[in-house]
Amino acid sequence: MFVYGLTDSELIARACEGEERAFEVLFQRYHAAVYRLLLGITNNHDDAQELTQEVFLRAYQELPRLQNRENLGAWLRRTATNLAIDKLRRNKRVRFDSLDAPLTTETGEEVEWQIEDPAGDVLAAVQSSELSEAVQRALGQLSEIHRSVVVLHYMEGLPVEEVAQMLGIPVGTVKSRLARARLALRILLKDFVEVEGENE
Amino acid sequence: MKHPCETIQKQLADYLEQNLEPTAAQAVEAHLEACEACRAECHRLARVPELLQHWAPPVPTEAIWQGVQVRLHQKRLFMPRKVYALIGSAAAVLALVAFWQWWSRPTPPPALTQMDMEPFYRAHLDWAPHTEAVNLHLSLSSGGEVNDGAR
Repeated sequence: MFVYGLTDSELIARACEGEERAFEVLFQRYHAAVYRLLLGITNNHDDAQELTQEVFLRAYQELPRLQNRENLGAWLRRTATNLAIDKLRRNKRVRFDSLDAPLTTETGEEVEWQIEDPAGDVLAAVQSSELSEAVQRALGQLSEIHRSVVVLHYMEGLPVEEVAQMLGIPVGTVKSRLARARLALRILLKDFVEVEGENE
Repeated sequence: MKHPCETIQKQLADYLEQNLEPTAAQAVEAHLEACEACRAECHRLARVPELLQHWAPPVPTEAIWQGVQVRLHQKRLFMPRKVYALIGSAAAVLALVAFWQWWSRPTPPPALTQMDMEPFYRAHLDWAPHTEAVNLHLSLSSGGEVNDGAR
């Protein structure tokens, strides 16, 4: 049965009729993005996998009631973000730091004192896989509240107003967290931020 | 007294996030115009979001879809909804048939009263005036109902 060329709306209609294959195609279209978002926020592979399953279970149940069927991606992203935030709250790992408090890691240490010295990696820094791993490590160094805004705004491209709405915080707080996260990431990714032609 | 570059560089991230008051933002811009070192630092900070785009997370495993499948089947959510519709329709048809049978059931004839039967007994008396059974019945049925066996 030809399903790969169908639009989201058509696939949703078929999935609502109980056609499992149609839902599987929707899953294949979006699961990597959902997983990436969840992994970005939770920084935990098992949590990201479990929550990805949960997102698609909810999606299947909500498909018949979905208002804008061509906007499934946005619905999935919103659901994934809500689930990830709930998960972090349940785990009581989210620290509601004061904005003036130093940016800290999971262990409570300030980011500046946790920076690894990748002096030996300078030559390999140009390789994208190295950069990807460095970004992964850097994200893991951020606290959840900073990582959440970074993932949603910088990586998912959501406007700060939408991030604020999703997280239930003022826009100014989002901007402040982004600024502090940017400073931390500048330090954590110091071997990659050099603009071409410059010498630090 | 702090060096102006130190003050400005602490504000650069907020400046890039448009999180400064207009006067503070103007002060930062004026400093950047004149200070190459701070301008370079601003460029470094500005690169951060771009660097994040290079993140290539591990590919999610097949186990996710398998888990979704298992859980949907456990909840019986994957049964084609046409099947549910058929089951519902069949149940509705059965209910209609049952109702129709109840509605159109044969109604029992109304019970005959003594008054209904009186002409027949009289006629029978005329035909067989000395029948003991009929006399006995007439004597017993003084306004009560007559059952079928009495006919």
